[in-house]
Amino acid sequence: MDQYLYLLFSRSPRRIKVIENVLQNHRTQANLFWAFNYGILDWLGADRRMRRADLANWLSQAQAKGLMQVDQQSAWLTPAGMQRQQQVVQTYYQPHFTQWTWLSNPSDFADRFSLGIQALSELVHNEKKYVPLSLSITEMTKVRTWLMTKGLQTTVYQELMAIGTQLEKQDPRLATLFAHELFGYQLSGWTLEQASSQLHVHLEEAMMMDRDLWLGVAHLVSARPGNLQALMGDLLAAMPISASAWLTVQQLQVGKSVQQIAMMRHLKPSTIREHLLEAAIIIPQALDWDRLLPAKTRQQLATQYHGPVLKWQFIKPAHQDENAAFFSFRLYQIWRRWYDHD
Amino acid sequence: MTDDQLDQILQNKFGFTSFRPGQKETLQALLANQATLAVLPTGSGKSLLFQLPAYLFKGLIVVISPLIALMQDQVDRLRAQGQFKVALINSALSFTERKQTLLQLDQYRFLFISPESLANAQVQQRLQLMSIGLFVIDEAHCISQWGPDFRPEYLLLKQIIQNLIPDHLLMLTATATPAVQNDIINKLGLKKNTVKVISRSVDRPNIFLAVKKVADEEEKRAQLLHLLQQLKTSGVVYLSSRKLASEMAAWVQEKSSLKVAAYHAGQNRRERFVIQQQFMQGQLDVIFATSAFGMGIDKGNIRFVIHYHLPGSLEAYWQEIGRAGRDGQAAIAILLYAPGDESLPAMLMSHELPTDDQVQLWKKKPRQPQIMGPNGEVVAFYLEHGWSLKQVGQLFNQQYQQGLQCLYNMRGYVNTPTCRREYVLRYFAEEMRSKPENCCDIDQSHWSIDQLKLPQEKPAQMVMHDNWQQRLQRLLGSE
Repeated sequence: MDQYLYLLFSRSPRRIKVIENVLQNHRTQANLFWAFNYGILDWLGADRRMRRADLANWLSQAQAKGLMQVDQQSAWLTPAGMQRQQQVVQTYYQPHFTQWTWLSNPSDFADRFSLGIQALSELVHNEKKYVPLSLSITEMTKVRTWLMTKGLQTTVYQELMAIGTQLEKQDPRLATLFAHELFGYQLSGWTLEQASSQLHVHLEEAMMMDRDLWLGVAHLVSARPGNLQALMGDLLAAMPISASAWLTVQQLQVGKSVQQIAMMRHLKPSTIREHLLEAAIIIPQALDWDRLLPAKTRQQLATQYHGPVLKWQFIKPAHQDENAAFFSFRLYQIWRRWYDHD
Repeated sequence: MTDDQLDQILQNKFGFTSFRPGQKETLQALLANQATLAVLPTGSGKSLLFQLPAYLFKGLIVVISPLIALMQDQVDRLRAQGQFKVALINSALSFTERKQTLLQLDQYRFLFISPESLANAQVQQRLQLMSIGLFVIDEAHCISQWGPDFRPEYLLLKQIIQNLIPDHLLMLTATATPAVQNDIINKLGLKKNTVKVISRSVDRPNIFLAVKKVADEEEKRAQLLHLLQQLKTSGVVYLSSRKLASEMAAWVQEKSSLKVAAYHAGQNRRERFVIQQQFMQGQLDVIFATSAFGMGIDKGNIRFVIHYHLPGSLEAYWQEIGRAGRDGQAAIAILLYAPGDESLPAMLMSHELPTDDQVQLWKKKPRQPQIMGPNGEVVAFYLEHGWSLKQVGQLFNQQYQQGLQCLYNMRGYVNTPTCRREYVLRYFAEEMRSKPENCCDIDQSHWSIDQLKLPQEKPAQMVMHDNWQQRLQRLLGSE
């Protein structure tokens, strides 16, 4: 995703490690915090196979072209880099469904979905001897069990048509790509190269469309109960935060403290705080901020920290639990970013 | 069981009218309860030797396979024949998946498993509770330290066989010199006089052998394009890296009207599947692949295999070119060689040992063998089995020397002033019985592709494109 990488940087320095972690879907609170501040949370998991060396290589090439400036830990766009970023925004395919990046791993989702449609396609054409897309035994068993559902042919066809229609409304190319990536009885799918040539886009755009397509399909399947949802349901996350973090949020909502939740769940208080920070970044509306960060604490912190939020340096407390103090500090940063329009 | 009964099973269950050379003898030896080592060339139908016994023997058929890709390929083939009672255990499985597979093992007819997974105590306990009708060691030459593909995990098989006591034992390999054959039998703790060795010539007389020597990389590219424009379809070009496979495929696509694709382990599963399907169905002319491609590709009409880089051994080369001409019709194998091509495989061969500090660190974190560098897993295996680091170093050195020898033999093939086929057969301790009409570029120094009369394969058909509604309709056949 060489060209799209410019969209993850700005004129101000950004931590290279954070960009790498975002692409690889590392969801630690520190990483989520910085990704949130950079406005790149939608890119989580956009290139899970990206290696550090690949990014370093890209950076040095972009630097040689005068598009990026790089120091030991950060990188930022030069004026020419800003122009390139604009070009990418204006001329490259821009994804529509990245807000659903948390919903499913698009690669795993596409694998099972594709096998399901392939097996159904062969079944409705009475073909028993075919090479199925090889997935793990668990995945194949899921598909085999699903195939025993009565009346699949008609209902799944209707569901696929409905998905195609929705995708077409966003971008007709997505509907075309959707139908042609699927394979089945006497029909092989498109490779990404073929998609790029048929849709008249760069290979890199075809790859981005592929990811976007499957995030979109995951969203449409999750929104419409039916046989496809029965097949795919367990690959769809219920919430944008982890199930464990959501449990913590629910316990907080019923009045439990961090310590109480930690005791009940046999987890460290630091883990519970991580959960809450994750929720604060991604679903702030689900938290009772007045309880979590009372006005008095906010006032105290306001006297300690001034200037742009991202430049604050945590001050270790003299007589207080350092972890708890850091939690309040980070929570306050997030609160300021969400509610104070820092 | 009579010959006729075997023939009947072959016809009824697999749709073939006759066995390929070596197949029936192997099955008969197994039926006579003999441990059997079958040395049969690529394309001779080794898979049938563990598929057909499902109709001969009761109990689970366990197949040991060294590579995930190879295992997957064999599983795919069985499934393509409608045989879905196939389980697979390897390092790619999650803990839960492995547990589930083991729990349901009695529902399966075949188990494909890697040697390291088989060494797991839980797996062995589960297998000891089952009746094992046939135990197959595929790529059995991996047990031999004299061969270029030595895999230390294979050394565990001796003890495992003694524990599991399978009803029948079959060892399969495509390329094994007599020294390697003896080593296989010894390392498995078998006595030579109790093992039936069935061996067929490794020769593939329908494949014309040629080497094109070029001055440098630029000339090599030009030569490749020139050859592809003449050969057209259908073929495989082997390259040593994923990056080069992709770059070269893109370049040839741009420079010619051929329909081509790269194929390598860096692509996602669906992409690889689609490329393989398209190639099998004649929608691609040429595949640019790393050695990940075609472990068990059974496309009969591959007319040419071109090696862009020098393989590390004659065994590897012979295996890869063996994918051409499986239909018995004329085919060609061309090796492109530029001076200095040896340096890459030689570099890949060197086995770096970890430092003492790295070993100490690994002892504290035994689940992270990568701490010990690129060969961490192999080193960890030996250390866990009581070897000292010094001994591992000696073994690495010995293997490096053997690797160099293999490469030297490969270079000998490039530079041989006499018949290339004779050179290869001599290497595998065989004599040439009869020279094919079209043998090699040394014997026929003025050869041309036209003279070889390769069967004309249909140019690749365009992948069909509909509008999306029609396409979905065609997939699910709805009105």
